[in-house]
Amino acid sequence: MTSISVRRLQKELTEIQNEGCPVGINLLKADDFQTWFFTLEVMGDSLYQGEAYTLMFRFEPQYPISSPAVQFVVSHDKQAPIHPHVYSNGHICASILGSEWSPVLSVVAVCVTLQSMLASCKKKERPPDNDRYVRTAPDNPKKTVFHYDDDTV
Amino acid sequence: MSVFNYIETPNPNLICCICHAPFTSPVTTRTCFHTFCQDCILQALSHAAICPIDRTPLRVEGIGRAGGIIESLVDELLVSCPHLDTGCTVTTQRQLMAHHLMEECMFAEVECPVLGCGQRVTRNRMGRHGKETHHDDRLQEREEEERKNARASKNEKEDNSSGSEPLKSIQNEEPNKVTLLTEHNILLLHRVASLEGTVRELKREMEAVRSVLGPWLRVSQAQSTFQIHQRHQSLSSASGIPGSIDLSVPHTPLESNSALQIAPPTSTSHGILQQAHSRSRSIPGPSMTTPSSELPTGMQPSSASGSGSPQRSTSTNGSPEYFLERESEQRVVPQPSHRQLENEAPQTRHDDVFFASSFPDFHQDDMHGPGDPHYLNTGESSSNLNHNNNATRRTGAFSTLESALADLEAARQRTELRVTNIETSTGRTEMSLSSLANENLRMGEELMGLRAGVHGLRMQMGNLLMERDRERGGVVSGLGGMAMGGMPVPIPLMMPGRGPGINSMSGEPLDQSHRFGLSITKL
Repeated sequence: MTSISVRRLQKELTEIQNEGCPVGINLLKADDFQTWFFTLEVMGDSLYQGEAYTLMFRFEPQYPISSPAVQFVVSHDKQAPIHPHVYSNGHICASILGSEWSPVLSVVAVCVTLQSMLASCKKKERPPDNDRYVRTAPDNPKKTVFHYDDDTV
Repeated sequence: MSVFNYIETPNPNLICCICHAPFTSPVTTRTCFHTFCQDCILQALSHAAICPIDRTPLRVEGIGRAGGIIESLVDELLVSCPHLDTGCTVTTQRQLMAHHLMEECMFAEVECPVLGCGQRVTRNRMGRHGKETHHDDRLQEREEEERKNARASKNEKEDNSSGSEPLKSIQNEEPNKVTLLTEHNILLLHRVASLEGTVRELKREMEAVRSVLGPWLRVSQAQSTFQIHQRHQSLSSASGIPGSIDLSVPHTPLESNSALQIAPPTSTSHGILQQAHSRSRSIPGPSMTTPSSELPTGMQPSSASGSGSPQRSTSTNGSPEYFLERESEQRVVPQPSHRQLENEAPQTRHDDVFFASSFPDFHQDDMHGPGDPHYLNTGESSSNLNHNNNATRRTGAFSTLESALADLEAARQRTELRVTNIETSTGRTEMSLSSLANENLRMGEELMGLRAGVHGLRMQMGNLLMERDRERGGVVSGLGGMAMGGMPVPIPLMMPGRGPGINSMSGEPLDQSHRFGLSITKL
């Protein structure tokens, strides 16, 4: 009996393969139903023009009832975008990834939301508690209890 | 929720937004009129009590059936049979697919209807299975018929309100089934009877083997032989004749008692079994009872064995039984008191391991194992021979025991030696360790002394150099100092880092360097 996550992700994958992704979003790797990778670029005039970032999605067996774990990939040649809601270890403080997650959302929807979050940014800066958070952050961003106080960005 | 392969892309309005598949048991929220699969929304609510689409507060009570129209629309979607990969090309409405799989699909597995088979075979292979396994050409048709009958009767049950009518209808509808069942029943009865016969035979043989093994059986087995023995006693008493039971004809259980017959003593096929019977009475006899009742029961085997002796002389095989029989005879008849003890000995040792036991009495029995070729049928000479052999065997056992004891003693001494060796070696290593530690301490002290000496020497050298320079009035060149002293300037420069007495000279290095520089310019 395949879990609901596998069936739902199968559907999403066929949708992406048939209809493609929105502009600026590209599926990088989806070999299993546990971890997927996407590349993200912000189109048009923005602070992040020309920069490409990599997003990592991790799914639980309860997806889409439970939210996926989403973060930017940080490595020797990849950096997290400098944004007030993105920590330097790639963790993202976004309500839709936490308390405001809904089973109606999908992987593509999350990518689009993050893309718009970057596009609407006014100033490239790190979160104020970036250093402290990065020192003690868990590996899985879902384990962090974020406070969503900023509605402007 | 089962997975279907939909032929055409369904209308997007019929897709559940949680599972992204057409609705299964669609339900709609009463407050915001959003539709989901029943399973999907229940799971989502267990996570968060809000509508997944617009996040309005939502509880289980706020959900109801979606209504006939939506249900019909999703139920009439065309799907293909899941057995498409094995060959079924049927496509039906989604609501009819269950029926197709249960009743029609040729590639779905069904149980063989033959009672007792129950093997799962795909419908298209049912005919072949019937021919090969059950030699029934019409198995497939019968299977279909039975299935229809079963369904019809089930439908009738659902339709009828009373309970007796469906039963009558079944009886009226399926006379074939009744005759079939009776035939099968008769077959089974025959099989049961033959099986019972074989079981009885096997039991007899088991008993024979057990009796041959005799006192080497454990207590539990002895008890079971006792039970078998009792049963045989009862059976033979019922028939009135101590003898074997005819085994050649299979009987139904009801007829077994009346079928007891005596086999002629000389018949070879039953000879051994008969001996086994008499033997079974002799050996378990002593072994099962308490000493108080030993004597009376002990006397019985003698009579039994006495009656059995003419038979034994005629039979050709079973030599160990002969000997054992005689053994029991000697045990029981000539010296009841002494032999009773011997009989008891094997009995009490039933709890231990038999062949490896070290008791001399047991060894005596051990020596006469089944199949021992030395003991053939003889008269009194055999008994005398046995006595002598017993004595020699006993002494042999003693000697082996003594040698084993000696070996153990030697091994023990060796281990003690080794232990002492290890202890001395450990003591020696400890001593060497302590001596090394002492040496270390001494070396350390010497080193410290040397260092102090070197300090002192350096200080003296420095003092001397200072005085000499001062006397010469600062004209001395650093180079000259180097040539004369042999100890170049670096030493005083090094000295400020060492010892409390150097503080007074902290100013000197500067002077030295000055002089050095002066000397250079001078040169």
